[in-house]
Amino acid sequence: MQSQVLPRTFQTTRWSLVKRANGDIDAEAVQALAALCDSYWYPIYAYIRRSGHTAHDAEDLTQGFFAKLLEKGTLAHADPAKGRLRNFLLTCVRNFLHNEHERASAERRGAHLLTSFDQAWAEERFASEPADELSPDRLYQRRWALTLLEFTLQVLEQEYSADGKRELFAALRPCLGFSKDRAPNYAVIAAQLGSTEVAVRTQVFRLRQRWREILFQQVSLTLDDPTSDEIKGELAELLECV
Amino acid sequence: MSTSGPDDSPPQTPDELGGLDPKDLFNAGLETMPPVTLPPQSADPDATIPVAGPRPSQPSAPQVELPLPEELTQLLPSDAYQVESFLGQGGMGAVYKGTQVRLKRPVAIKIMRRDLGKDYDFEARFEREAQAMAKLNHPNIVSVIDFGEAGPNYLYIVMELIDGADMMDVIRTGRMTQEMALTLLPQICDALQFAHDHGIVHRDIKPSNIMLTRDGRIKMADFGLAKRYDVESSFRTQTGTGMGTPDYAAPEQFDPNAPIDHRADIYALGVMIYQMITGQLPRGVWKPPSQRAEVAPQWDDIVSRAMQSDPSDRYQQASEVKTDVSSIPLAESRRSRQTAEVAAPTAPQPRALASTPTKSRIPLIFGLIVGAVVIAIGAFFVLKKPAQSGPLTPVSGTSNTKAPAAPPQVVTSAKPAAAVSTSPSLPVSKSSTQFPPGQWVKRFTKPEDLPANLRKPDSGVKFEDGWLRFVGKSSNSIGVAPELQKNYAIRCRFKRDTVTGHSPGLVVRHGMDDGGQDSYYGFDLSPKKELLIKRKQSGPQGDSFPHSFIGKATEAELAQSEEVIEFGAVGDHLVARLGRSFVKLVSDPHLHQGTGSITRGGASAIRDIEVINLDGLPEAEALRLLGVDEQGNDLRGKTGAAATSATPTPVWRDALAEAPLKKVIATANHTDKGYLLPPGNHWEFPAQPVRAGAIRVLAATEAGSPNHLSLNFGLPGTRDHYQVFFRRKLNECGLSYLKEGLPERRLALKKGVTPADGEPHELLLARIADQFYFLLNGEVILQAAEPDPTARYLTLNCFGDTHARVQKVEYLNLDGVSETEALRLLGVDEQRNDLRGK
Repeated sequence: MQSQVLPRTFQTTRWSLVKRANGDIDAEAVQALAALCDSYWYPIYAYIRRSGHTAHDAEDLTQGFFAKLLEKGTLAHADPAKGRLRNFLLTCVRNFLHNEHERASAERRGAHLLTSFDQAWAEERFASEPADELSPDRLYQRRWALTLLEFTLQVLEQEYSADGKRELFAALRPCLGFSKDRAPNYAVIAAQLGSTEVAVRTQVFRLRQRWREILFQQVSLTLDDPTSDEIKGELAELLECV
Repeated sequence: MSTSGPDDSPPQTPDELGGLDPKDLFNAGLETMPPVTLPPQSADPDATIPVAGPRPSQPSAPQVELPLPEELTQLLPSDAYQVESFLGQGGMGAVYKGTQVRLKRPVAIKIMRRDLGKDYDFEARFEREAQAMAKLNHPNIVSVIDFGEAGPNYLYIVMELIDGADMMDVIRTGRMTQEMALTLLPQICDALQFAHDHGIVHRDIKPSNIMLTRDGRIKMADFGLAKRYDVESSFRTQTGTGMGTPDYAAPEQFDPNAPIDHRADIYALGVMIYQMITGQLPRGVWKPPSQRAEVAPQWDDIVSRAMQSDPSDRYQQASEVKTDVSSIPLAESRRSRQTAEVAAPTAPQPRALASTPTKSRIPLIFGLIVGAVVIAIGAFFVLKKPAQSGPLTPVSGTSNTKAPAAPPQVVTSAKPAAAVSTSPSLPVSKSSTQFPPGQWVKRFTKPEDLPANLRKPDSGVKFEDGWLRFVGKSSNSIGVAPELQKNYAIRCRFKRDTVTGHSPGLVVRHGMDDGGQDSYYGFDLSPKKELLIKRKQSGPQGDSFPHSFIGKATEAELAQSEEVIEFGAVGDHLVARLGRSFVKLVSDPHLHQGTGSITRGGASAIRDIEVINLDGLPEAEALRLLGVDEQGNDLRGKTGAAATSATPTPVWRDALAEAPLKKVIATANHTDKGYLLPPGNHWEFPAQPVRAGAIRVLAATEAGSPNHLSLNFGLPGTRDHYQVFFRRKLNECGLSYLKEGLPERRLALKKGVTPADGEPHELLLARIADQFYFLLNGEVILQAAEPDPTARYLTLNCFGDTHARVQKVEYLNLDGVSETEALRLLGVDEQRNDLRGK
């Protein structure tokens, strides 16, 4: 399975930009939201698909949903509890699907604002989603969490690659997942890299630190008020979703 | 939106995350957070411990579990201290302000929770070290006054109260400069060396532990707190206060078995130096400081030696670090004194050979405490072009830059705007007969021409086969023409020292600055191939050299066995030139007169030394004689009069044949249509960054692929880049500027040009004179001006995260080529006229 194309913009725009004083949504905020949607459209697609729509319909509906979302004025009237993008989008898509009129007019929306939308890739991925007992909501949440992790991994990997340390990252990458019960075998990794165990320990420590930083950053983009408590809270919830 | 409980957890989709378990990954994100409640504004676990006056970002009340000031007064030994207010909280504890009652002395009182002792065997050792610290009496170390138990739950330390701020604050707000670092680090090293000499290892060196007092003194605090890092334990949930960020920790601190000695402090010092001069921590795989910020290249070696993994490879003493830091750059300051001595007999200029301490501007650096803006000493190059920004920006360009609709700017700010014909004339000097203005005059063509002191056998200079070679150990410079004092230029041809790579440097206006200090302008090509213009500045702490980084020469450019170097001063401007590729005009108002000389560079050799007197000429004319116009554009083309060697016509180089790319290609997926690049890849050409260049790719896209190969120009050291991309579904292609922290900025867009599937086509992205051109099959599709023209050097790369099959990837370095010529080479010049005005 191919990895999803990273959207072109740097994801350092914030969800909180969308919420301005007086509920006015300006062009910059729309752009910020568009960037975020570019990252997280697949969970929405999966939700729509799992809700019973065909692949063809799901494509139109996904594009239509985002087009409507990003239209001026829509967000101003939307659910005020926009604390977390993840939940906000879910509420929106639910409403969207329930509204017959909205669905029917989805086809007419011309502008395709999702620059990274890829039907074939989405369908291929959806086909390998786990078994049917996952409700659309549950699937959406799970996919959201996994998308976040995938992006974080990709960003981290690109950082290392850009500095010419792809092999190092590949060797250290499994250490991202260890817990206190399963410590990695530093000696083996050190031998593999031709380095010392002490050096590997340090590198792993720093790798995990950087992982944390990027993860925080990715999460904070989707929060209205990205305090450390909020980020922790979101991470804890996402942990439950996978 | 409820999330289900554990019995509903779905099976894992295999291998989406490369075998990593998502739960583990989330836990990794959560567990490593320090448990201390952080101030709401930031998610920074390395919050500072301020020890002085009120600052707006501080929390106004202590956290729940910490005592209120009155409560703490009760907990401390009876009536010994009066605790007045809470100052802040940091990694290890909380700090309060108070008074030592009997002596009426203001103090800082720091408390730590005691149950730390259970985890780290901390208390007993801590007490011993507090006692040892109390014996450390040094102007740069915070004095310890008292230590003990504050009730059953806390330990306390009483220290002198520092009226100032900490270095973390300075760094975080971006006010730390290289010059400040040069002033502060010797004190830091002194403090450290003093402590080490007394057997104390600090173990927690970081900027938030270093205070700056109002009078510019360093005070190091928080000595001797034991820190030994254990990778596993740092992932356990921690008790109480947490340990703060171990970014400064040496590798041995992660190893439970390794002994830790004072050299761990040296490591932390290295990390801190890196952070001071670049503003960033050296995380993961870090770039050397000189590649991350505009700082002197000598820092690279210092930082890298301090941060060696093996303690025995590091500096063994803090004093050694001080020596190296103080000598940035050592060679020049020696040369300057020699130059002074050489020139003194012939030109009776009053010059202070020893710097007299003045009430210099140094304390102003520390005016940060009262919220004053730091006067950045490095920012002496005056901004000239309205379109540019940044303190060290010289007037740019090797070719026509597009200032926004402004008439040619006059370069001196003090004088009114004027066109060429009325530009002011430079003052006339007495040396008109020997050095007629406007004419290059050869110097030292025969040994007899050298000044007397240089003819002596051990003068360090020797004639050999027509070359004047630097020999021996002396670092004499060659004063070129002491009669020329104000406006003149020096040039010569040189050969580098092949062993060390040193080149001679040129100095002009060696004299006194406005403050009566010995000063000069220098132009150097370092062994690391970096070109700098610098001004020497003397201060009570020694000499410093604020400078402007001009560029980096390439091996290819320096492969010429001889090269021409030229440096001149015209009014408030300096013109520097090296070979064919580098010419720069910078402006600086500080030095108005002084002599010129050629300074030694290892065992290099020079010939064809010439000077030109520019006094009495109109400024514009003088600049023209040096081959630049008032904007700093190079007027000498490929066949200019000063050309000493022909520049080869730039040729396209095959990027696929160069080593790192070869490796990528070997693993890529081949068909007869070309190479399919592995997904998620991007190639960055190892070629040196260029100011003007192009990348050309021959590719074909597979049917059904959503996107296309994108070509980029990247800014080294950042992830910002200019990108050309295609969107097949929208049938458009565009050029965007992607800068981290900002939304994508579309510079140009065109529809209806997407190549058909399977059809090979040629893509070309070029940057010439602050303009980008994108050509598809030889036709210009997009053109846009560079929005951020301070970016001078760009790397070339292309993204491979697509389905494009690539057959050829080539790049072209157009540095040094005139704009017209570059456009002609790319076949753009005629088409460009159609696109102008779009």
